[in-house]
Amino acid sequence: MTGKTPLLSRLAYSDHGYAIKHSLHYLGTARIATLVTLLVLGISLALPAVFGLVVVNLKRIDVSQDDANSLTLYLHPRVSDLQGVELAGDVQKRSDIRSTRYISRDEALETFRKHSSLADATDTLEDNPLPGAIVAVMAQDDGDESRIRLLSETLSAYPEVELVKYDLNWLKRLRAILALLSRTVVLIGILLVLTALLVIGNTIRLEMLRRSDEITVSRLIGATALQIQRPFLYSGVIYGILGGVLAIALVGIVVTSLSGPAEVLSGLYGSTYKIQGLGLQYSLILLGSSTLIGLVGAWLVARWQMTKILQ
Amino acid sequence: MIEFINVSKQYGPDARALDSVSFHIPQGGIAFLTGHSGAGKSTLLKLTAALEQPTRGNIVIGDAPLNRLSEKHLPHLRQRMGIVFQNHHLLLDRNIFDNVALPLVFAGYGYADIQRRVRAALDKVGLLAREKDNPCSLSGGEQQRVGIARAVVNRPKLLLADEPTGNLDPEMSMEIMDLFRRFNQVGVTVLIATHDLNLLREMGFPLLSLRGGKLIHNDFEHPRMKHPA
Ligand SMILES: Nc1ncnc2c1ncn2[C@@H]1O[C@H](COP(=O)(O)OP(=O)(O)O)[C@@H](O)[C@H]1O
Ligand SMILES: [Mg+2]
Repeated sequence: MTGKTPLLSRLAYSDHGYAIKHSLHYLGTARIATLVTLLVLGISLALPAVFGLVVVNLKRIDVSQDDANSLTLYLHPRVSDLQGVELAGDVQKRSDIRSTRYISRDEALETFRKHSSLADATDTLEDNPLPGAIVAVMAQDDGDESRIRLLSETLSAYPEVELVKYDLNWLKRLRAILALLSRTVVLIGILLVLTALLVIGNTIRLEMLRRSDEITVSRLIGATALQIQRPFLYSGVIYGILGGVLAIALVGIVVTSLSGPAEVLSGLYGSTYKIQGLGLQYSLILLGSSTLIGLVGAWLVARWQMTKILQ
Repeated sequence: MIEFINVSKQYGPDARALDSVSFHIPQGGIAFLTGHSGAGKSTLLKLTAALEQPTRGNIVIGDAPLNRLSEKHLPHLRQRMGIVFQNHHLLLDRNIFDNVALPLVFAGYGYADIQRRVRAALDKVGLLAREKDNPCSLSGGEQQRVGIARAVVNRPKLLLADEPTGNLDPEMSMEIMDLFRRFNQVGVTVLIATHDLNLLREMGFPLLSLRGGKLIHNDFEHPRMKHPA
């Protein structure tokens, strides 16, 4: 029996399908209002996503910068370049060290001359006063202070090593800034989610006023309270989905337009850093939350508005 | 089928819309509810459809005492009655077919049944050919007939009409009344509120008359009136 009728017609006259069909139709007729709502929604969802990405990317810089995650082993002046290279090779074999680089005494002096205002003074020196050094990048990049202190003590035990230095301060500062930023993102996110709820709620309220005939009629012909509200809940969900897609597109535009300059910048630092976009996982999360916001916003207003219209 | 037992409806301290009204319209009956504007006709119909609750008294529809039904059961009760209004209450954002289909969608019918029943109902009111049109494109009388098709598409046992011919010329009014008579002939209980005296004379249905919220004329027996309030 039912097999003979087209699937689309059967869906269009099911309880849910009928509500969806006429909600879509309404959104199509109220084009300007729909568009404005979608834009506000898309922007207020894209903003926290963009801020979130900023934090995510800063965190990646944090852990991906070898400089920040390395120890410098200053060698005794009597250690020759050959011994230094050999030691660098030994240290690199350790499982807690990812890579090493030997900086010879000449290289150190060269760098010092280039970057220091005291450079001229070195010309008067007969001997190179600078020691050779090994820069060792650690395998783990959690920035755990006690682990790093332990490692540096172990490394100072090599007889060729005079001093091990590491600078966790700028890492700590970056972490503190990131923590502050993360919290700001959460707060802004909450505010913007509230904005999205208000926008959806207000839009649904207007829609219910404009479709009040339908509410009255539905009640008269025996619709349950849920059936009366259903078209509006679907309107909310549709707004949520479309707003989410718009937000994802906006974030995509922002990421694309920033990735060029970011590559130039990271090139200057000799790194090949690439901005991380939303990716599939975060896109789905964004879409899911915006759908949920649409449903919840519509549901809150529908419940409250129903009692008013039906009086 | 419709039984009122000492029913009063008070909208406010000084707004008594119905005053201790009792009557009983038997199953398969048809009646006119008359009275001047403000006499309480609409109120009586709203109470019958459980759209409002009586301040006092009991109402029994079929064998269901309304005061025992919870809010949850009211939609189901309304699905078993058809209601027609003076202003037809059609939805102008969808075609005639979808308007008439609405009660069936809420009642959970499948598309095959919906299609069959909607077409049958539109056929009965002579508008089958217009199913794809928008209600805007119809005359007042035709719109009212669509309203009636929507009211009967669920094949209700009870049909309520509140001034269904209020905006129509006499000829169209007679057509509409004829429709109601035909539904009554196949067993539907019908109650029509009107203050159109011509119609009353022409059709000759039994009367219930209200004045100032009191029932002043009743063509039906009223067995429970033996116990006045
Ligand atoms: N919702 C309401 N609130 C207050 N008064 C009302 C309401 N509905 C009807 N009334 C009053 O009840 C009386 C009966 O109204 P109604 O049933 O609409 O009469 P009719 O349909 O016969 O014209 C009128 O005096 C009207 O003003
Ligand atoms: Mg009235």
